[in-house]
Amino acid sequence: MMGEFFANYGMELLRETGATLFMTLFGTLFGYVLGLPLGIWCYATDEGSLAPNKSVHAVLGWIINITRSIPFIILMLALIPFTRMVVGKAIGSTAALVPLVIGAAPFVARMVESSLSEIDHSLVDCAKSMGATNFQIVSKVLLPETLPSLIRGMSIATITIIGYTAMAGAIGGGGLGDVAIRYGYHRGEFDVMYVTILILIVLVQVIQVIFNIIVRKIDKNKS
Amino acid sequence: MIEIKSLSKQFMNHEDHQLEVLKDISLTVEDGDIYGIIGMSGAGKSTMLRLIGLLDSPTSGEILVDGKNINELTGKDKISYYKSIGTVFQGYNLLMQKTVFDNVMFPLTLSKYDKAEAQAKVNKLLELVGLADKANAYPCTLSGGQRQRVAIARALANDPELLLCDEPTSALDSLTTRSILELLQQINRTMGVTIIIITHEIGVVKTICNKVAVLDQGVLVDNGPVQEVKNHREHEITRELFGGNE
Repeated sequence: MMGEFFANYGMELLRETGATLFMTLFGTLFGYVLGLPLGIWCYATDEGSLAPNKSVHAVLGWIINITRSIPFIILMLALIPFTRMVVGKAIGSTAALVPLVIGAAPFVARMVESSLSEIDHSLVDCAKSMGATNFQIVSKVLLPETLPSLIRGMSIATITIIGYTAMAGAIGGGGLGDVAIRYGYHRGEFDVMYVTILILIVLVQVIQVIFNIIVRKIDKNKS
Repeated sequence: MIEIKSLSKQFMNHEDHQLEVLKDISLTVEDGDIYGIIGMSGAGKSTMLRLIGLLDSPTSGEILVDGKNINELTGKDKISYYKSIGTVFQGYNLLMQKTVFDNVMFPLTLSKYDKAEAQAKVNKLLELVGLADKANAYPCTLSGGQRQRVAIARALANDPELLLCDEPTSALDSLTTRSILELLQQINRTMGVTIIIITHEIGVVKTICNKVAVLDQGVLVDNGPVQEVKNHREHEITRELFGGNE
């Protein structure tokens, strides 16, 4: 029975797991390319921070909050014209990356901002008193000192993005979410859906364990 | 020489009330002094150190270091002023993800540097503060006293002429305090570094300072050589700090 199941669905499940991993990996990567600078910028322009600027800080906060308040599945639909403009199509895993990145970046930015805020302000003063420029304070103090926290944040972001990829399946993004919806919801083949759930659980566990190992390895401040 | 002239600092608090933290302070720190600034909490000591360290600017008055008004410094001059002073904080402010060695090296990496020269210097400084064997340790494995020694070594990395110490021993036990104070004194004597030390403990002043300024609610109430201030005790706070008749 098991053999029969895998003969029927094995290849498809394998392929779609690959699609989910592809979307998660690149969604996270580009989410950070966009979200990391955004988070740093937001942190730096805050009152009493490195380069306080009330209006810039407010505008950044607005952009982040507005993007974050749109449920991802609706954001995806709303972005279809934009996605078509960028990738030339609105269907498939590559096309799904556009809304994934735009949905993930503000989330990442908030995580980065909150990690950076963990640093005591007197450490920033201390670096300043040694003649460090703002750029050096970010690159040599804030980022290295908060690296374990940033990596921990990245594990949360990655797992959230896995959730997003499942939703991307609902509008033709492919991946495990697509499989679960097609077989489970549309055809009533619940066994396939349960297997996809199982695969997702294993993925999340493995990702979390990998991140935990990395954090344990790099964190030198274990008190 | 540091000349502080009619220095005042006001803050706006949350209800938009003006808070006068420092009122018309004037004093002179000579080269080679170990100048204690003592007062109760809220007396304005830390603000004063922040102003001298150029981490904040005064509302009025000026601070002249070797004749130059530090608040008029810009660009490169400002950076080189920062590099001519070292600061030691109560909370050590070490980089917890970096080794002891890299912490002391840190100020040197902020401008162009020769690697071999810098490493030799860090080793010398670690020797000076007695932590040569801890070069590769991480700060979280060190005691409070050891952490403060690392911070002192780091503050000396740029060969400062002036060392600012903000309650450097307040988080330490009395035995460790004594050894840190001895270290500061040694630095003052052998390297000729002028030291300004903020404290609320009269013991610190008595142990290493040659001059003392007593602050009370932002006002400089007594000021001068420690022995003189101790003998005259003009102000109530001074009497309280120095204790009864000895």
